Amino acid sequence: MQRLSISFALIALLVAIPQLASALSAGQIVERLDGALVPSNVEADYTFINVRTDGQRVTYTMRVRVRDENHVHMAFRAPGREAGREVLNVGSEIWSYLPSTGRVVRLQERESFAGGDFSNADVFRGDWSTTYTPAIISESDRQWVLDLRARSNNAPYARMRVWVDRSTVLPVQQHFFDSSGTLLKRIVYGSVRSFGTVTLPTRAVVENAVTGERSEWRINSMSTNQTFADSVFAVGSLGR
Amino acid sequence: MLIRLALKNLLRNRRRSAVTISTTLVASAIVMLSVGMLNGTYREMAESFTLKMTGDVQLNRAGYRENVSGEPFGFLFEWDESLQSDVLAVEGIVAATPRLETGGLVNNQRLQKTAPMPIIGLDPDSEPKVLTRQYEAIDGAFMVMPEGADPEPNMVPILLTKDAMEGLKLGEFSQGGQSEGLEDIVITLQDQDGITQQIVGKAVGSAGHVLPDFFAAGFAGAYVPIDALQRALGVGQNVSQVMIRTETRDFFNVQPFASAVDRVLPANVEAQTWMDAAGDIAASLQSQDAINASIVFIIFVLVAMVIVNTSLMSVMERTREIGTLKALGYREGTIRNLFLVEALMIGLIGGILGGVIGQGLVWLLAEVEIKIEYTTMDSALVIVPEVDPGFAGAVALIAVISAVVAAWLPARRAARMRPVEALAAT
Repeated sequence: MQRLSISFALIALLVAIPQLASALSAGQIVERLDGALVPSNVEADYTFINVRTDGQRVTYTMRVRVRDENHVHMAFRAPGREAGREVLNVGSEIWSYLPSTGRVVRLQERESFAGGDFSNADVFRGDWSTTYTPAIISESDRQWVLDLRARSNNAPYARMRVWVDRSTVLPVQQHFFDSSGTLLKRIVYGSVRSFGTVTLPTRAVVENAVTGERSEWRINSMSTNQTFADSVFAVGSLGR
Repeated sequence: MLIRLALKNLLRNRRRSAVTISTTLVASAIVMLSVGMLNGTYREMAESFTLKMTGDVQLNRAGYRENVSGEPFGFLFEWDESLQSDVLAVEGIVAATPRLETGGLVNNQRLQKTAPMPIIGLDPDSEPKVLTRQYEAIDGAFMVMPEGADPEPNMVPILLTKDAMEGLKLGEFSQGGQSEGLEDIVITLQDQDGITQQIVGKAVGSAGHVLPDFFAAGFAGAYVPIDALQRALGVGQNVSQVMIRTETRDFFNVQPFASAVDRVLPANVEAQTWMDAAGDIAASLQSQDAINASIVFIIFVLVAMVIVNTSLMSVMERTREIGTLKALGYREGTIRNLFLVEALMIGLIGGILGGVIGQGLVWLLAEVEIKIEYTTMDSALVIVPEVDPGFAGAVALIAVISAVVAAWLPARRAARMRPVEALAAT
């Protein structure tokens, strides 16, 4: 009898887990998204592709080191003329170093990352849970649809809409809007993979709703549970 | 005989004649002065465009002006030595200067303040030869590293508009001058292969002497030597635009020069006049003839109304005289023409004197700089009144015609009076 009760309890728990997931609030979902696309303590190889209006494709490869969402360092490896360029995100600041001039320049979140349609904010991902006010506007068995509204004018976007997979709590698609409600761009996520304890989309394609230009990033490999010296994320260490 | 009679009649009532002639005189002088001032204003505005901003003729890739997407590399053309010499060899072309435009991030290195803005490359040697008025206040070369700047190798001089300097938290620069403690500026942009490039330089001065402040208000931009921008963008000798100065000072008739230049250009490059660049402003300036004509019309309608009134008064007062003339056998036509000749003489005397006085005033004011200050501009508009040499004659003619037309009905009324009724009038 006791064994049967335990079995029933286990079955009930297995059934309840999805329902428990559905009980996530909008804020909780966003908090989990915050950590999903920029996992902590990882080192990864990224490929970044810009497709211009004339059809020309420019492909960059870079090594990315992430301590947490406030400490991200990128070092460009290819193409050859970009090799040695570094981009550092520390908190709300984004810095760029170019080896040809040896100069460090502070960038803005809203500016384009590597000339493509991803902005620096898209790539380095500011903290959505503190930057935006989320709300679930619809849900189904497979997805939540969240509406995120900027808490201040300093946010990169006035509003975002995010489609989130219920089973993985990972983004599937994202729309970005300006203050007048005009759609600026769309990102479609895909190719979910696991690297150790980290599971995340390894491909994202952004389409500029105005120009039709596209950019794409891919995660080629990722090492988890990494530790980094503080100097990796120090502005003064750029170029050294 | 009619003229002698008309003159005698005018002298009989000197006060009324003086008032009417004065009205015509003043109207003529006002017309001369108004049109002179308007012409001077139009010319100043046209010069502000051509000699400060656009040149007389501009060379662009076909479709450049419709390039709403701002694609920096899609509308460039090669401005090599061969094309330069071909264009400068066209008759009437005095000078040409290239520009290259793109966008980038401009960074104040000391404060690490960064702002996106247009980046414009220009040739500091040829620009003053085309935009002569814009650079006339500059003594010597501009966009140069000042002595003692101690720049690093490959650093270039950079000019910034007022709004750009405010956005980057830079100090004030005096117009055309240099500031102490020149700030390091880094411009980050993408070359035509999508590779990130930087131009490193010193902010050596305000762009106020590159772009008139009136047009620069609200525009944050950085100006760099065009060769530095061409190297950074990897575009060789390609440029966005070339501005050309011609020998003519008739700013509204530069199309022949544009057409002549167009004949030596490659197929994908076209020559357009400054009016194409100035758009609605040029269209409004071109309507100056219509505006001048409206002023002339309105003023002489008012003069005509005065002459109608005085002519009617004259007819009423001279009823018995008219009756007497008719009784003596004067025909209707003769009596009518008598009044018309009187009006003609009023118009002629007033028109000629007014034209002369008006022309004199125009010449006088032309010697004096009439400055109009705008709160949005550092430099004032300088108006030099001017009228065509034959305009005074045209004004006199219009005065005569107005007077005659105005006197027509009163003259006809006088001519149609019955002698018996006229003589019986008291």
